[in-house]
Amino acid sequence: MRPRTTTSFTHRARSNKAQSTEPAPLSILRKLYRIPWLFLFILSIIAALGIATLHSISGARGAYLADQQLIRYLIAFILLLTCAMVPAKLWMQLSYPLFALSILLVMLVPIIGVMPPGAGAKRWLMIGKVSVQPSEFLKIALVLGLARYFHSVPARKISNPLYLVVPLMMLLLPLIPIFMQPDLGTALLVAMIGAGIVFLAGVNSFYFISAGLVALGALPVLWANLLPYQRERIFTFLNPERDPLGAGYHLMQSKIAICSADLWGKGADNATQSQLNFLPEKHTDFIFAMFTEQHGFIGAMGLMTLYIICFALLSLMAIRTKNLYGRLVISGMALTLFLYVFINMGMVMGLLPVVGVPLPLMSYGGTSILSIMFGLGIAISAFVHRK
Amino acid sequence: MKRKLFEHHLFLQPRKGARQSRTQTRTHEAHRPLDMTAPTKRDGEQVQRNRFTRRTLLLGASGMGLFGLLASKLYNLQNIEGRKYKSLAEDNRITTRFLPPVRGKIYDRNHMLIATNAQNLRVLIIPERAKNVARSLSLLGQVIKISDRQKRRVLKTARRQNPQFPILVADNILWGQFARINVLGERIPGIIGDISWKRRYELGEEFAHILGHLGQPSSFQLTSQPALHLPGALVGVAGVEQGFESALHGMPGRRELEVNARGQSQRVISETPAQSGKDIILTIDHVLQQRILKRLSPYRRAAVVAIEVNSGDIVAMCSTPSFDPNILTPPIDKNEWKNLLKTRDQPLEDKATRGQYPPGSTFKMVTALAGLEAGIITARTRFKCPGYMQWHKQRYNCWKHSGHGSVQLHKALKQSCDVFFYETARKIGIHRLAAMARKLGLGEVYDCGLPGQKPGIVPDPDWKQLEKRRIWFRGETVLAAIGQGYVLATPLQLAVMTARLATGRKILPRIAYEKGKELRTVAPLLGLSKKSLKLIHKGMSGVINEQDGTATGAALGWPGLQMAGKTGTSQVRGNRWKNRHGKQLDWQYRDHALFVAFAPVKNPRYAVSVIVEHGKSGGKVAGPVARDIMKMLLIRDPAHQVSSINSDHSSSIGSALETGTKNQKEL
Repeated sequence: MRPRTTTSFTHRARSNKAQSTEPAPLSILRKLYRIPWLFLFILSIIAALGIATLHSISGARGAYLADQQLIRYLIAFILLLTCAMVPAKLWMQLSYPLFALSILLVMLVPIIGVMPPGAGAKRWLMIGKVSVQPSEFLKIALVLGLARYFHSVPARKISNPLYLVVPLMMLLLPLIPIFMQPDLGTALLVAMIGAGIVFLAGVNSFYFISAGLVALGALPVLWANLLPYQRERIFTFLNPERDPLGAGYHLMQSKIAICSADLWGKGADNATQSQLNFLPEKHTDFIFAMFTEQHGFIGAMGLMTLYIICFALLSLMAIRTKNLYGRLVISGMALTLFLYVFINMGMVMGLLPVVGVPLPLMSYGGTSILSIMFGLGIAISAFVHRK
Repeated sequence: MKRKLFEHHLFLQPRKGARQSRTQTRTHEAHRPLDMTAPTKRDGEQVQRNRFTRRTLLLGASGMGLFGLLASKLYNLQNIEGRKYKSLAEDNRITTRFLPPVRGKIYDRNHMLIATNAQNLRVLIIPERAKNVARSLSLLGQVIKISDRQKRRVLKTARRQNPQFPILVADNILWGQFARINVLGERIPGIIGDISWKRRYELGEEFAHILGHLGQPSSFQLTSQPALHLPGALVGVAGVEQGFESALHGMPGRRELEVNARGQSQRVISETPAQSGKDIILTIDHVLQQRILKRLSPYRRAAVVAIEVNSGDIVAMCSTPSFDPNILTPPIDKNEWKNLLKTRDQPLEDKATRGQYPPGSTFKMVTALAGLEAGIITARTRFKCPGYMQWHKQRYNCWKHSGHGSVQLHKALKQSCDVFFYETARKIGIHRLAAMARKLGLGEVYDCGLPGQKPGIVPDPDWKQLEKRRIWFRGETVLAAIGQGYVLATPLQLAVMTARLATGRKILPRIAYEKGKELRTVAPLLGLSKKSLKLIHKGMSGVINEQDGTATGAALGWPGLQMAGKTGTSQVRGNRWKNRHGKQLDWQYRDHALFVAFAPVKNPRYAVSVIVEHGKSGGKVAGPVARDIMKMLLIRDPAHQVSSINSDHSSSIGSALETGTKNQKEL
């Protein structure tokens, strides 16, 4: 590493503040002090709610799932703290390699991926005995990679089309294998996260408006090229009753679960709908249906509020962070989290088509919780090392 | 600050500056890639940061908007679309299974168990879960034997009824088979093993008519009580089983089950246990019942009702021939059922409550009392009996063709002089006669938990107009006076009539009560004058205890304890058919022998009515039966009234009891 030379500089010299904080690396205590504990506390509450909901699944299965999830959350929490303590610089260094690795994994899925019984698509990779979902990691890695990239782009060049080629490539590269898997939900999610980061990075709004118009125009073309099962999903989304035992089944069941609850819900013991094994995905993607049935409108609103507080805290953290990489990582994670929550809830309620998107921290699933906590760990690290 | 920001927006940096900044960045990038505190250019950095803040807030706001959308959708789902889905939820996902209640037991007055429940192991199939009933049945056929007939029956039922109600496949299966079904049943869709209870009657013959039996619920009951759709759900269809159905049946429990897509139950959501039916205690004494049946065994068709006169409790009620009600408890064995139907003298018919007989001379108390109460006759009123009464060119015969001569009430009752009562009835008229009959409980169905009672007939002009569309003839009043003509009564009614005559109170019979509800209020007085009643009692006592009575053979023979009664020989065929060929009539044309009695005369305890169908003579056949039954009753009197009645004759009671016991042994 080259020592700081005079070339760097005039603005440095002008910035007394920067100079004063520069030399001493943060002590562990200082880092711990800077960790946004309120945010972690709310995350833990959400995770606890998820575990409690899993526990309410009848019989030994519920207890098993809850235990597994608890262990995973604890591991993920430690992972988050560890990541938060790691200097943000290191994460910045690791951003591109991580991104490359995740793309590699995603590309491996169509080749050596497995499809667990009951799942609709090939999304898992077996590493030893553990099955992982590379597309979950990809979303985090994409945030890191894009943040890393925009950090290096000069502020005034950010809207330059030439500078947008690279992020576009970074977006499209993983989308190809995801489309091949096929996983429309993840593809859309990845695209939206990418677009969001590009937007937050400060790229001219013109691009987004025009892209939106193009997308609108492309819809018929896209429709023509959709796979039958994808069209089917859209059909059933528009009219779930069309095929209540087939394609619309999940949606119908989850709607039944949600609707059968009133303001305060039925309580864990009386929530009959979600306890039925009519909802094969009730502990993963449709856990919100089960939660709503148990805790009613109030419970669901409470959960949404917790998530909103999370986004708000992340946004504040992002705004307070001085460097672009940190800002983009934090806001990118907030965006990812938001999209997860919104898409999942929307899908469970029948507002959005059924795509395999878990509810962060609530849904059962190791990869989901670990990747989210990992990403949040890096975000917190960026906040801790914000200067 | 804001102004500065604004400036930066408006005034783009010169080209040169941009170039410079780019090189700067590059250097920075190349050499200090991790130095995040190093800005590209402070002002540009600030612009970018502010833009970031703005855009974050923008995204945050749109995010909130989207969450608002979610919240409104949730509200909409739960409150507007909710209704539809709620009903879907309840309908499809939760099945309610009714838990059959255990039927209440029935005890006799000594708390001896009469009707109980025996375990019955069954196999059921729920078509909704089986999907393919035929396949499930054939699979089941590998475990237990199922006949083709059973299969056809199940398939037929499955087509008809609501698929969520189980259908009985086989019952009374063995434990071993039952265990196998419970183990393997999981793999055969829709099959469940089930333990039910089958009604068992301990003293079947003795209580057959009183208890009735169980049977399939009627279609009306099925629609009003869905729990009765349970396979093998039975209700009482006769006797006390029917009369006390609501108490005996209990409340079915409900088990709400979650079912998965295959209809297999996953979990019990809630369970309201069934409430067993309440136990019922009969007022019947099973020992008496047994003994009376035995006493009636020489007769082909006979019925006896014994009532405790003060409470109205029916202590014994027999109808012979009887049958074993266990045969009638479903599933009914067809052969046994056929045999039962073929049996001579219709054992299924309960003659005590459903047999309607002309009461004959036993009705004469009614006529007498009506005359006394109307003031038309007194104890001293005399009528001349030349063996017939001539009235409006019509001749009404007395049973004694030679006539009774000059007859007063006492003698008329004692010797059962028809003419005396013809004359009385002629004067009081049918309306007052019928009113007295009704007052004494004739022509009435008692609300005592004994369904199927026949009301008998207390004829009057209105009744005749309604039923026969004919006007009332004077002669019919005369015939009614001696319990012939249209008059019909059941043995139960005759026993009640006797009890009312004995006490002067409006005694209502009682056959059973729910456990813990045995208390009764004292029956109200009928408003009959004591004098008239006393005259009647005296006359009835004379029938038995005076030398020239018609039933001297019915005397108890116990010093100091007398029975009062009245014979009745009611014609089955008119006189002109009698002895036409000088030989005995065929059995079915012979007169019925009736006897009503109460004892002791002074302080009545029990009233008895006896009918021996085609027994020819009330005094000679029914009288002795009544005597023996009365002895049994008095000996088993739980209140030991025997001693208190005649406390001054305590020594004679001992011997009376002895004789009684001896008599019973003879029986």
